Amino acid sequence: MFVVFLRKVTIIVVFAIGQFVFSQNKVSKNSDLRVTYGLDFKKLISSESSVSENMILIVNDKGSLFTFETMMNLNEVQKVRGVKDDEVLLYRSSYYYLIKNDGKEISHFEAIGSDTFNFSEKINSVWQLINQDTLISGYACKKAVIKQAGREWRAWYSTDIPVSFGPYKFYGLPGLIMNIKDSENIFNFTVNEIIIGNFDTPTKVNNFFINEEDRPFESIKSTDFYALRKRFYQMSLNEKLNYMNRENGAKQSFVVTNASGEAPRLNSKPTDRNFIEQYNEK
Amino acid sequence: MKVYRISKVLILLASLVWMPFFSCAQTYEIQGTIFDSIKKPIVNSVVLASDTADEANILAYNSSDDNGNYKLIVKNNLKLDSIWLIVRHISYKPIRIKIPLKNIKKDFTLYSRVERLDEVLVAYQKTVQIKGDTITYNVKGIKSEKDYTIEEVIKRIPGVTISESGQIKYQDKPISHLYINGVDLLEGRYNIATQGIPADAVKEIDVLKNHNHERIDIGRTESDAVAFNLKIREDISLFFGSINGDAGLPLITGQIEATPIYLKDEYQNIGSFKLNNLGKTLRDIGSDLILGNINISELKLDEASVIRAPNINGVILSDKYWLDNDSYAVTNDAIHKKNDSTLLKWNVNYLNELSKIESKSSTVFLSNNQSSVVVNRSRNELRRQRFQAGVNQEINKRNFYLKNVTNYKYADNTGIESILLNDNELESTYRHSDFQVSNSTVLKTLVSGDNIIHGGLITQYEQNSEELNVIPPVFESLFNNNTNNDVTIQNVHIKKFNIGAYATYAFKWLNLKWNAGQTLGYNKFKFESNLKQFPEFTNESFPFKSEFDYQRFSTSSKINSNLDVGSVRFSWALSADFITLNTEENYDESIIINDSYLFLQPYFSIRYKINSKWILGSNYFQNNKISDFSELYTPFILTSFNTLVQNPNYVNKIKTQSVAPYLSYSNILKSFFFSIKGSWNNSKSDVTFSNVLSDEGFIITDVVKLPNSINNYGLSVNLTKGFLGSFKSDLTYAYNYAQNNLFFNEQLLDAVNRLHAIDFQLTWDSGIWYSLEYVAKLNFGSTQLPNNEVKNSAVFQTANLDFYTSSTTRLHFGMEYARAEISTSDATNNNALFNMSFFYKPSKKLFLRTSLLNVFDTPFFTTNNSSANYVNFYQFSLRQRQFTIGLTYSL
Repeated sequence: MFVVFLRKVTIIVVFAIGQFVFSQNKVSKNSDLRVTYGLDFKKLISSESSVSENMILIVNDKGSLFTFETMMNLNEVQKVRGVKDDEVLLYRSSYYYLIKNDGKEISHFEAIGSDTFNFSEKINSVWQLINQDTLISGYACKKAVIKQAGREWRAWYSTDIPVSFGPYKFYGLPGLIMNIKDSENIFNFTVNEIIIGNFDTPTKVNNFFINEEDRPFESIKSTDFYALRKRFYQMSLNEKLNYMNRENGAKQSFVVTNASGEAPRLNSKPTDRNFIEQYNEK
Repeated sequence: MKVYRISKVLILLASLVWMPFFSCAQTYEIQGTIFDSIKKPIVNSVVLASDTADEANILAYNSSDDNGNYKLIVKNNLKLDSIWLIVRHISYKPIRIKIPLKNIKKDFTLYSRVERLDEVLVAYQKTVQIKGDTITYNVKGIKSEKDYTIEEVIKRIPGVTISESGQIKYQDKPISHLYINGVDLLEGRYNIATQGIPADAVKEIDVLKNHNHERIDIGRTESDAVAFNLKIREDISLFFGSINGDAGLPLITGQIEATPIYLKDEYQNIGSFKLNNLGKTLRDIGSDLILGNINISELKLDEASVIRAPNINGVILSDKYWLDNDSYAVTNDAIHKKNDSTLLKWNVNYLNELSKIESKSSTVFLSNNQSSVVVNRSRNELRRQRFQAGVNQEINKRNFYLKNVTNYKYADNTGIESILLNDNELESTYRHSDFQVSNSTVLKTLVSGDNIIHGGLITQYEQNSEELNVIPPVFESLFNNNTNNDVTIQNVHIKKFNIGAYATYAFKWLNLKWNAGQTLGYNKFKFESNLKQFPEFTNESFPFKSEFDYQRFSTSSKINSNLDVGSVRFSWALSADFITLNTEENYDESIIINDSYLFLQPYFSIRYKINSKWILGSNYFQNNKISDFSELYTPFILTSFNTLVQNPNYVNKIKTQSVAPYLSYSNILKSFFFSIKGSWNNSKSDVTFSNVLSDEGFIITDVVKLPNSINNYGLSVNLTKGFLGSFKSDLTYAYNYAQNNLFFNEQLLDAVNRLHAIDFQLTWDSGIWYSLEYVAKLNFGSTQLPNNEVKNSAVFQTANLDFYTSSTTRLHFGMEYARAEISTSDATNNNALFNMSFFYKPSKKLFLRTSLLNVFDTPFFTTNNSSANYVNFYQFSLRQRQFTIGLTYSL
């Protein structure tokens, strides 16, 4: 009889402890956000149709981190091991950048060719709130507009998801940005998925990049960076190959013919790319 | 004066109108701190002020800082007495209060949400998700409009190639398992599922890298195996599948396929019925497409025939152009999941396939000063019948693994060859029947902590009969009789018993991981043969008649390990193989072998990872082996209508050494991959093959006891470059140089074969209204003797172009082109074959197609190859122009 009683007490105690532990976890678990944005963008200035990429925004007490989903996956792998050659195609994206925002300052990390750079910016986001509503993914959203990075942007945000961070370097609204696009419809971010949980913003940014020698990021002025990036993407394929191999000293050349017997135009200048920043760089 | 007055009035009026705005646009500061229930400041709370409860008009907003402090500056343009203040944080219950509008300090305490927020606020299905070593592809995301079966979708996963047999390779390596909802129902016969499950029935495909099927290995044994898991959509009914059929001209060309599938948690069943005569072989139905347990595979009997079956194969071109077939196959696989770790599986399958081909082969045999040509025109057919059944049980636990497999197989193949050999008309009939039963058990368990001991046992019994009849009789001079006969008959009967066992043990010693393995094998075969001229001459003595007993006992002890020193990895293995061989020819007591052999077989490799871009390495192995069973029975054997073979009465020892250095460069950022591989193989044997070719084209193959050495040098260069997103090109160059000694018409020849092979592949598919695939293969070969040389070249190109004419229709054009030349002839053979198809998918369940094959009704295809001391020009018949209309319907 006593044994039965003892067993019942034990079960109750264990259950109660379980509930307590579980409820504790529940609170700490629902503290961060992982938001997936679909980015539709026109890669080249001459592009008529858009291409799509998935991008991830992590929001927690320390601020936010925004990057490509492929780079996020690369981080997961590189946290535990080096990336294998056969996996490289999995981690390709149109650009390679990561934005960290601690609420005071924005840090921009980006790879250009085989080099990695970083710089910090203070962006004073002055939004104009517009009294218009819409519904996105079931959430009531309000409109706001801003002039930033040389473009005019129109955003829809939801106060039901009370975070001030958004995609890329957009922040400072009283709710999560559910959609933002520029007036020329070149860049268009839309929320695809929102998950609440525990999400860290990793401190080792190198893991997000294929940086074989684990070289540190080179600090650079933002204006110098934008100019360098613009110049790099204006290079022909052969110039890019040589630029990226400049440390090796050897001049690279690559010859291949396509189906009709014509060689691809490795030396022709590419059409200018679109970047979010539309400044008159050096 | 009047103007002055009017101005004053206007200024006064304007002042009156604007006064309320200037006078009331006061600014108020509302500030405070936001705490949680234990007075800890809350960071990043959003505080906003509105004139209405529904927040339609936001007057001001801000977020709390690191100390939980916030500050709002509200301009009172609307002359409000009070405002609504709303405080929100994702983890806490919001607060909404009305406060008087004035400079005020207002702190808030937020309480954790009692109700649990949904973890997923907005759900979204991604195309690719990576979790550790599992890559999950969403089928909707990667499926193209034209894909109907799940096999077509799997083909789109980066790194996947699928052979015509349906074997899936990931990064050039066959996958180890194909699971359906996590269960391996079909073992290696997974093409039944991949070719029968509609793409729309599958939700996701998992690519499981570094996969361990046996749970005992997880976290204990490193694996580089890759498995696939098909996750069936939840809304699919328990019973589903597909039916498809085509019919057309010439009458009646067509196919019917049905794949009914039943999936329930504890019971799964997949059946299939296939019937076609449109050039699609079914011979791989029911065959094993995975590597399986390598230890068991090494102990299994080889499936080798003594008499060669009639050739019914074309080469290079896709089967659909040349395979003239009547095929049907029925299969059924079932599984009962007794619990999470115990499975019971059954499978049965039956195949019946008749194949025909007409061919002309011109073979130039070179000797030191002359060349001989053998022209063989033949019309061949072969009917294969096969019945297989199997039962297996598996217990798969974290610390214990057991699998027992029992298989039965009966095969019966019959064929006819009608031949015109250098103007001699011949007809041969072929029959081969084979019965096999086998049982294997594999066991894994833990010993001394986390070390795994792994063992297995296999027993096999096989009985086969082979027969070849050739009319008119051949090799009559050999029989040394003058009687008139109608036919030469070769009979062979073999009974084989095989038992083998293995055990492996993984352990740590000297800070290194070691693997030790022990294998035991015992074979007992009885071989009977009889070569006779019928009806008048039957010689009951050796070498026409034989009764040969063969026993072989072998053990192999192997140990291997590897050592990492910085970026260099050294791997080595050593095995000691001991073989005892006893053979006896009952019709000639002098033919007897009782010998034992001991070999040490070393393996060594070194790999230096210079950096993440460059890898340099080399490996070396030495292998010794002795003649196997097929090289030891000594009577005359008529292996085909024109070839007579006699093995020598001794054991040949073959020693092979190989060195293969390699260098690879992978530039990830530039998507540029380059590798160069060299190889040298030297094979030394105690014997040299001797072929004697008669003017009529008959060959007697004998073996001469003369040491022989074959040298093979190889070089291959591979270059892969992907650029502009959807454009991928792959270029491979390979060079092979082989030196070979052989006797031909009693002359010792030193033959040199060279082969340059270039493969180029280009694909362009960016998801727009068209896609292109182009493949080119160029072969330049030569066969050279000191005073004689023949060169041959062949070019083969394929191109596939698809036009997506609408969201439901697709037009396909295909081309296969070949050009073959040989230096002994002025003629150049050019063949171009075209096909076109139109596909229409009016609904998710229905798929209609029409196709035209061999558009210009080309009758023959020609190609060439060279080896040893001969160059072969091979021409074979193609299927005639074919028009079919068909449909596929998903259940």
